[in-house]
Amino acid sequence: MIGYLLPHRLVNPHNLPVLLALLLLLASVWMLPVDIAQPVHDIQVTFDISQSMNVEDVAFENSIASRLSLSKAAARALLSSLSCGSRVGWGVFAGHRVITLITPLEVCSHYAGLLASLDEIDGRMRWVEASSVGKGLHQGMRAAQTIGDGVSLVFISDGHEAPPLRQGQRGMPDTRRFNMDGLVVGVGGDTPAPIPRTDDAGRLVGFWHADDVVQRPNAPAGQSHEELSRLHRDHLLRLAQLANLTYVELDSVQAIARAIEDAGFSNTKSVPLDLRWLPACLALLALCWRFSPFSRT
Amino acid sequence: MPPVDFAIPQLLALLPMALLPLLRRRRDSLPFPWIGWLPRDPVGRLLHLTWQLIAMLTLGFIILGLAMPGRSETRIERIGRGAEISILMDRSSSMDATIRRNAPKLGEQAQPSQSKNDAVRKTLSWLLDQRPQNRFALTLFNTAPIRVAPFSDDVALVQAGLNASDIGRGSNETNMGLGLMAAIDGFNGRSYTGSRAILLVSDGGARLDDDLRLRIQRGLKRNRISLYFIYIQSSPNSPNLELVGTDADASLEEVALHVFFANLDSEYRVFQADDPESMAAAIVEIDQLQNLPLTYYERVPRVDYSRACFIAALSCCIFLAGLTATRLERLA
Repeated sequence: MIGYLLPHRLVNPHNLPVLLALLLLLASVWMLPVDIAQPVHDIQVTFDISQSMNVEDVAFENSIASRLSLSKAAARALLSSLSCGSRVGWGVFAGHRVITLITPLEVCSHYAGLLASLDEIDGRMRWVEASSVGKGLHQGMRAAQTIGDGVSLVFISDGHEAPPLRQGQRGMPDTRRFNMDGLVVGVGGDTPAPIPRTDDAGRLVGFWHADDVVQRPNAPAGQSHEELSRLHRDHLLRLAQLANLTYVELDSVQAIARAIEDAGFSNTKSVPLDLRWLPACLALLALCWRFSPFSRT
Repeated sequence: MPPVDFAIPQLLALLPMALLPLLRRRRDSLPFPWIGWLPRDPVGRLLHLTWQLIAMLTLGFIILGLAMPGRSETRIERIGRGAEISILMDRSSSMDATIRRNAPKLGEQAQPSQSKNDAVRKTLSWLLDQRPQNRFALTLFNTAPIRVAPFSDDVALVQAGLNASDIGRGSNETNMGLGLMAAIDGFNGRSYTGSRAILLVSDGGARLDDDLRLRIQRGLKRNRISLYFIYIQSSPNSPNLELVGTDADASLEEVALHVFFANLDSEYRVFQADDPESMAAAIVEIDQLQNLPLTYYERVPRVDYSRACFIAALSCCIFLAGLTATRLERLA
């Protein structure tokens, strides 16, 4: 018995789908990852960790949670929603300072580390019992600017200023020299609620009373209730306008992830994508065509 | 080794498609009314069966490859050398001041000035690069402990934390005791896999109350932690802790802290860092002290087998194409 390879039968129309599949499979075996421009984000997320963020007045997973835990859950959701190549960092704000904890790291290769670091963020880090939201936002922008170009800021706060601002004060230095995109995220309920008081170890030791906190100056007697806290939407909205940022309300865990996607302030970066599946899929189709009992070729 | 799994197992539902070659096709039928008249052709029959089998394998391998089989990321336990080092770094505003340098000697170039924080970051980054097997945690402190990075295998996380410590200014006051407790608690609940150390970097001392002293002492002992204190001199008048004995007059905060540490049951060393060079020397020495056997985990990224599947499919496909174009002749 002897075998001949017949060239005219190799390239006959009947054999074409198989040859096509062969070429496509060659491509999928030797294809290198393709650099494709993808929208990625560099985001510095800064959390307000002042005491009012411990108020439990927001809905999360069918129960009531503190503002800070909802904020952290939203940051987690953001982390898992970003495409590979995006970078995220953390910072915290209290008093009138922002401390940058982690400069942005790539989200896919450092996912576990970023989550572990996020878990550590809580009220025990608070180095001072005050909260000047405007100054915090200003510092947050400055930190993001220092980290690098194209880094956008996500600043999460309830807008509760302690000590309170005077009438007409905006409490924020000029931010015109910062040129960046970002979100001011408001978190908290609309009903004024008592602020939990915690000790160094983060244990609840009661609530702040009217005599413990600085009340609004020039307010009529009994009218100032700075010991209670709610979401100061107007204040945050105004700060966001002044700083040229977008205001978003944290009404669901996905709110930040969605706002980032909608806002469109992404950078484009070439991300290597493995596209082997594409020629392999086409090869599969070609072979199915060849073996299908309905094809006439 | 973990079992093989599929990244997109849903695609395995397409596997029945691999049976397509078994179906009889109209164009394969021969223009004979009754094939019983044809002579028996065992070789042809065998070839047909082979052809069907190979065609099925081709389809099957492509579908398998598309479902992306692989072994998921794992961690392999290895024994190396190194330590679990918890870095506890002063993040008060005094650390932003420039590090003291001795006046240049005659004929020497004055060296560029550098902030204490800068010098600390540079040398600690060196330590991170030096021993990727080490596990690091990073805690900053001013009036409160700021837990930046818990122990993890991700050195880049600690590096990002160090980089971040350069941005903005810290507050003026410090509470080193709480910082120490936070660093000690970071070891809680971790199994003992190698030597443990806290690397305290500060330019000042602290007065600790009795309660905190007791907690620190117990915590260090319980978790078997060595303590290294890199003391950065703030001014020429700062005491030289390396020269101070354990029973010195403790009216200065730094000396008081040093004496407390030195009288602990745990291993303790102080390193006086007058300038960036002596700081680097201190870090090198700590690195050598902590070069003990350590169980560590090496991350093995996911191994993907889809390319292997496509190669198998390709080989089958070449065979198919060749078989169709082959003519067999019986030698006379």
